[in-house]
Amino acid sequence: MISRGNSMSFVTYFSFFYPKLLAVLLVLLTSIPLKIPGVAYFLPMVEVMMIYYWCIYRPDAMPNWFVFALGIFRDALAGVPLGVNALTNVLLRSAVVMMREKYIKVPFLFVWQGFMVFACMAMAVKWVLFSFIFDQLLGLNMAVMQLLLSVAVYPLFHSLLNLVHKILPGGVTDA
Amino acid sequence: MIHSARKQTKSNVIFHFSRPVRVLMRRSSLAAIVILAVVTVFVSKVDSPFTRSVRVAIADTMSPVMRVLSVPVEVVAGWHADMSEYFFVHDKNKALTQENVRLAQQLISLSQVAVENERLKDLLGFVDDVNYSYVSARVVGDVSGPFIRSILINAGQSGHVRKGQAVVGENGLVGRIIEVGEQSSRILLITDINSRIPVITSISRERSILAGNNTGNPDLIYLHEDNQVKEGEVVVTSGDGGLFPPDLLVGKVRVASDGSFSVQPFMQWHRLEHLSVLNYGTSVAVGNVPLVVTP
Repeated sequence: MISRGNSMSFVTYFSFFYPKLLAVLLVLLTSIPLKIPGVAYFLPMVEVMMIYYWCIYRPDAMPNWFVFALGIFRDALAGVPLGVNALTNVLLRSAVVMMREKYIKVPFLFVWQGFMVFACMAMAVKWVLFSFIFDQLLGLNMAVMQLLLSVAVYPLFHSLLNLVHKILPGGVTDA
Repeated sequence: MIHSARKQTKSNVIFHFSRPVRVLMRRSSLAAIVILAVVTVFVSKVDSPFTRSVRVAIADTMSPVMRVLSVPVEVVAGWHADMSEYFFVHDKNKALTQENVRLAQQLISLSQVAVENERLKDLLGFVDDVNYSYVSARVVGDVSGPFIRSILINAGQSGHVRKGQAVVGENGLVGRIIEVGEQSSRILLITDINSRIPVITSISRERSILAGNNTGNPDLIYLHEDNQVKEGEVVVTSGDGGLFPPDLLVGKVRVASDGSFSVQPFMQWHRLEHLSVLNYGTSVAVGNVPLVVTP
């Protein structure tokens, strides 16, 4: 019984921390110098991918407080005014959770299409916030590049997250 | 059984009534977080000391972690560079030998020019007041994105890095220090939309401001309408305002088809590895933090 209790608590802790630690690690990995010409300006939007995926299949893995904290973490690393990514993440999470029923048990193409819509929404929010903070309308060239790259790599990312999801208790069934 | 059924009914009733409360709590917590995020954006917009210190503390804590994480990337990049060079080593050796001969000839003529320059300075009584020391640091974070251009280095207050100091790489100017932690500092690259640096063209001697625009080629603004700036001219810092030392290499002038001027920086941004933070003696204040005053 004791051993069962211990293993249950381990499983609980594991499911609580695993997706969150992965999200933090991905934010750090996209903040180091990758030494590939030009890529740093439009690296895939990993937070958007993480929030989108988990909020469809396991919203409890990405609670509001965490996506807010993750945004603050990204803001601090990027040196931008705190709150920009935090607000984007919180709004994105709310929108995805509201619409998640539409993306469960549907072919992957629809999930991918949904990602495109939510990624555009997240980028639009960021653009508005950055334009507001810098008091000027910012160019969208790099933002469009980042969006396209994010949409292009999402299927790969989705497959990787499916593998991660399978490890979690009550793992993937319909992703 | 009856007791159990009553208990179950009671729990159902509690669940029935508690559900709207829980939904309300969830929604109000969401509203609270959204409001908190909005307030944070507004507070950060005015650059409050609190948000700045949070940013610096997180960057400071994470810079050693980022340094460790970047080791495998450096190893792979090193392998890639080694493999690329391996196949061209013969051609490269030939080119370097030729370049060495050419540079040796140039060195002879330049040393004569240097001696002559010193003699003329003595004759004119010219006082050369450009005097600075530097701190070398490694790039630990490239945190640029579609709307920002900045990097993190692993030198901070403990390494005598101060806000406003110029940062140069092997090929020229990189940017300036905008935030300093204990062990790390943030550099605003010259290509960032908020970067403004006084520069001068090397041949036509036209003063201008190098204004970042979040592309690879920052603009030259506030040039005289009847300027004589030519395509390919080298642009250096002018030293105006005392913020940066003069004559730091920046890049080459590019003239667009509409007649506007931009600068192609000499720095290759993906190759940033080791940088030098210049401690240039000046008493000019940047923001609310005064620069180091050298004795």
